[in-house]
Amino acid sequence: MTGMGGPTGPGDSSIVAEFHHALADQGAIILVLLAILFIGWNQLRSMQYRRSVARGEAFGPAESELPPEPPGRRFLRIAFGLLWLFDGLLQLQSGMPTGLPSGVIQPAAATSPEWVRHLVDSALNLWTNHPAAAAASTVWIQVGIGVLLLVAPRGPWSRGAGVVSVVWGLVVWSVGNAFGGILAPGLTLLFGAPGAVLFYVVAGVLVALPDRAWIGRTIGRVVVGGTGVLLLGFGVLQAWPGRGFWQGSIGHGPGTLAGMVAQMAQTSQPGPLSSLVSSFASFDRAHGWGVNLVAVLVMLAIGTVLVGVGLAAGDKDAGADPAADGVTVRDPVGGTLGLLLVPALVVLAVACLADWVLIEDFGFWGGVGTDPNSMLPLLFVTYGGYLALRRPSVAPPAAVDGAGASTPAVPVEVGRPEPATEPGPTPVGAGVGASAAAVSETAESGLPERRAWWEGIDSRRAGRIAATAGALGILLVGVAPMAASAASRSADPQIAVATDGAPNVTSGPAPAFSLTAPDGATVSLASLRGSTVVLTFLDPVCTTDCPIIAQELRVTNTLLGADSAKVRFVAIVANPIYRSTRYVVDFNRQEGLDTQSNWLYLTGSLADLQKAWNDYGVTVQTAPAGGMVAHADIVYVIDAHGSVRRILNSDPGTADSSTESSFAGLLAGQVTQVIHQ
Amino acid sequence: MSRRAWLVLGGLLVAVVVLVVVLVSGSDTPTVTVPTVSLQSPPAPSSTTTPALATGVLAMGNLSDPANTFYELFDRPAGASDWTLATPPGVADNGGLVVGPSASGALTAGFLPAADLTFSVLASRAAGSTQWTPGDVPGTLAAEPDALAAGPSGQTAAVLSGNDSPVEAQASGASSWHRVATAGDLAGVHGGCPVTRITSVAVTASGAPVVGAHCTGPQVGIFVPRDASAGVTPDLDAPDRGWSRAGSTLGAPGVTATTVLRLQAEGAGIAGLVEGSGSADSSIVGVWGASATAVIAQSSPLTVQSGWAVRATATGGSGGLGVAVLLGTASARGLRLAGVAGPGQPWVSYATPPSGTTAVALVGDEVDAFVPAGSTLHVWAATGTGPWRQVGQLTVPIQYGSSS
Repeated sequence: MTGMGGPTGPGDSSIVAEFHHALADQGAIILVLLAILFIGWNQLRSMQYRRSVARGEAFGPAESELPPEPPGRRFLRIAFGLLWLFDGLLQLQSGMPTGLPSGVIQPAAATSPEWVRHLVDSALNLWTNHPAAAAASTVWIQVGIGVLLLVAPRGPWSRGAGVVSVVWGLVVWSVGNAFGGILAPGLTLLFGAPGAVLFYVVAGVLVALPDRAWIGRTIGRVVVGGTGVLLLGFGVLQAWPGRGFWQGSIGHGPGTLAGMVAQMAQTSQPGPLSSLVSSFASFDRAHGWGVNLVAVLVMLAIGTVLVGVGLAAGDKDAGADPAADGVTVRDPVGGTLGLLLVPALVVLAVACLADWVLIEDFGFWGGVGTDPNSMLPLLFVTYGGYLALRRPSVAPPAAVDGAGASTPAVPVEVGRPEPATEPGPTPVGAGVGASAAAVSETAESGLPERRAWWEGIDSRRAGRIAATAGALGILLVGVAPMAASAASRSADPQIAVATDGAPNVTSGPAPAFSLTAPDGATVSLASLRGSTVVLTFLDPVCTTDCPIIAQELRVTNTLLGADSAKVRFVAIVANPIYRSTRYVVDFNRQEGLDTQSNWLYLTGSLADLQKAWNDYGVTVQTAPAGGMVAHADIVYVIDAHGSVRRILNSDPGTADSSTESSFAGLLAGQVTQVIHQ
Repeated sequence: MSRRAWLVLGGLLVAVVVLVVVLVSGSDTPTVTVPTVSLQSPPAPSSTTTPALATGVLAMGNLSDPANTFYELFDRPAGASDWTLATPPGVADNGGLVVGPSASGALTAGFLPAADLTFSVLASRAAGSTQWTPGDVPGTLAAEPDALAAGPSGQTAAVLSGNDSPVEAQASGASSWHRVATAGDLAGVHGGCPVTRITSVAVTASGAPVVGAHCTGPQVGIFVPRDASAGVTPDLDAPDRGWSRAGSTLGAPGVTATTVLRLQAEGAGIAGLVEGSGSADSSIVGVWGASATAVIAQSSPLTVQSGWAVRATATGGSGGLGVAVLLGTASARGLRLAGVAGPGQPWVSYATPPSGTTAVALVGDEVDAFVPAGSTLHVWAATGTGPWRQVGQLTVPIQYGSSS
């Protein structure tokens, strides 16, 4: 299962360190923000309390005039708020910066169609180019969404939390989860299809709905019925022959399910759990047909009941049992379906939990697990729908005017002021939307006393606003670095540092050389005084590293912008045999460097070249049997006065787009420093 | 619009911005893109034996990993009993190696592009020398065993890859190359054949180039200059661009296309192999020309059954006119070796070559089989149709990992 992979590769410690550093910095900003909000809110309450004591008034918020939050919505909001929070904390794992693309995202898309892989790869560029920043951003975005869902129970900010949950969930589902693998072979609900995060999206949609949508049982019917359709569909798919699920063994190997579970058991996790999962894999291998039969029957049976409930449930009550709070608690469905609903949900819960433990293996072990997989979210959505079905909201009673006519009732949202009817003694801090300067009579002077503007603020509401602001702040702390990374012109230079080590800062005269340019002109280091020189050694008939390094230098030139006019990029031939001008010309043409005005590729006699190699510590060695000439990959940055200021290892390493872009960015940064120091 | 609606709209706008930022990230980042060419499949292993030198080229190393497959050149001077590693240094040869030996024993080798190297370079060696001199060619060599030819006086001719597979030639001592022919030129030769690409080139003792091609028809696509005395500079302004077709119709039934697999100069003339393909089995025919302008003689056709294919070729042997072909099945479990000594001679089937044979060579009356195993080359020999015996083993210092 994606995410439950192995540890990160060698050379990643610097990127992990950068990741932790980013988290610490961003965490500090969040703490300061939260502290400011808390202090402000606490100060307000203190001032209100002192003023109320001085006046002899009661202190405390007024009773809320809003109807209670629909139970289904409340459950979904809190459950998925906690899930997002948990997922955000999972993103803190050290393996995330470098392990998420290769351990989670790419494997998820590996068996999907080409266009899905292309979409995933395009979006993956941001992460692979800026692993530390992207990983840290993801932590705060998901924590922020979770906190926002938890602290904003009603009103536009709560609904906005639902919207943000939908948007981020869709991003994760599409590019992080390859659409939940629904386009790849081997699709099964047991292993997470159609993608755990899709349930987060559904919950987000439900939370984002206006209050009036929760009136009645429509949402409950849709959610319960929809879950039933999902179970029926996947039940049919699970039963479909030829997909390997009916066989515990195929040939000498395990069947599809047994193989998946056995793989899960090998993930790094506590021993007893691994044993448990491994035992189940063995059990399935021995009884694959039976296990699949049970899974199919459970899915089809529960799916049938839920679909039936969704169709049969109506707003007419099957039995009357009004509750004191006005939220009716009545059987939504009568007859057999009504009797089967709760048992079906219990069976579903047991089955989901069993699947979560034995097959999905909790979903988050291995070092790059991103979430607890799909069973919990599926259960939460189903139960939320059940609550919406069983305990629907009712519309508030319509207002009746003096003539006895009623006006249509609409759900009241938090923040909308209700017209006051009997102004009585108002507790300090309890004026919902009250005028900023309330006036009251004092017994002593008979003159009206003006209240300060902060006395009219409902402290409970102020607390919610402060908490919401804090959650938004957490979100912004996550979004801002990711946006900045997306706008960056090169990958994170730290990737190159992780591959090749940090640049060596040095100072000393650069050894002189006098070599020949392709046009026959003699070029010496002294003739380049006044320009910053980026010097390297390239083999014109090299098949791998040198073309890559040449392109990295070309991109560095682009990244330098206006500073490129102060730089000369100089390469010296590093091949004792293929060193004549014609090979240099061919190489320049091959790399598109023949048109770069500040590019010089120099050669010379074997003696002159060997002197330059020796002076700059570059070993050049021919190899037998068709091997390439071996030479050090190194770049020197020489300042305008002829002193070596930086030495960088330019070995392309894995030579992917991230490392190449990162090196170009790193080198550009170093050259800029040398130019301006 | 209500405040609620504005808030929802604002939230959606922020969300869309985030989504767009994520999905189009990096669009302005200067990308590091290394230019590449579409790499050709390396040519099949081949060997050529001249009066002075026998040479063979075959792949060694980890043959399932292109970055660790290296094409090695082995040579065996006339009179020597052992093969020696002779791969020119200075360039990685993972993309393939082609060789053009001259009758004098001089040798020119050409490196095909590999990985991020998009052009070819040459290396040449004087007769009896072990020192290689670098050279260049105006383009990328075609992936054909006889894409490179060396004349007796230092002339060089090369078949280049590209749409029209041009043939370029360089006179002895010259630094520049000049165009000799293209597939289009030859396709327009009167009485010629529909040439789609040029597959081989040879330079005869008189210095005249001879070109072999792939034709979509039963005609054998061997072309010779109308004026052989012009050397490697035929008059392209002459009728038919200075070329005429020397080959006749392939003597095999049901042939719809012919390919000149090998073409070597043998004294004043040429010797080679032509494959005829059709609807069913294909055929291999030996071809010879006594001189650059003589009519091409053919052997009887050797049938290549369905499921079999040419794995390697060899020219030379006793008399210098021998040609041989190693056939194998797709799984390489089945091997079959046949040869013909010269015009008018029948095909002879040799004993089944040792398992793992990838190349063969004709050296005098002997046929040698090369069996590579990683870094070790096992050499087997058979005389006539007699049994095979192992005659040598070389350890080749394969530079694993050097090209990745």
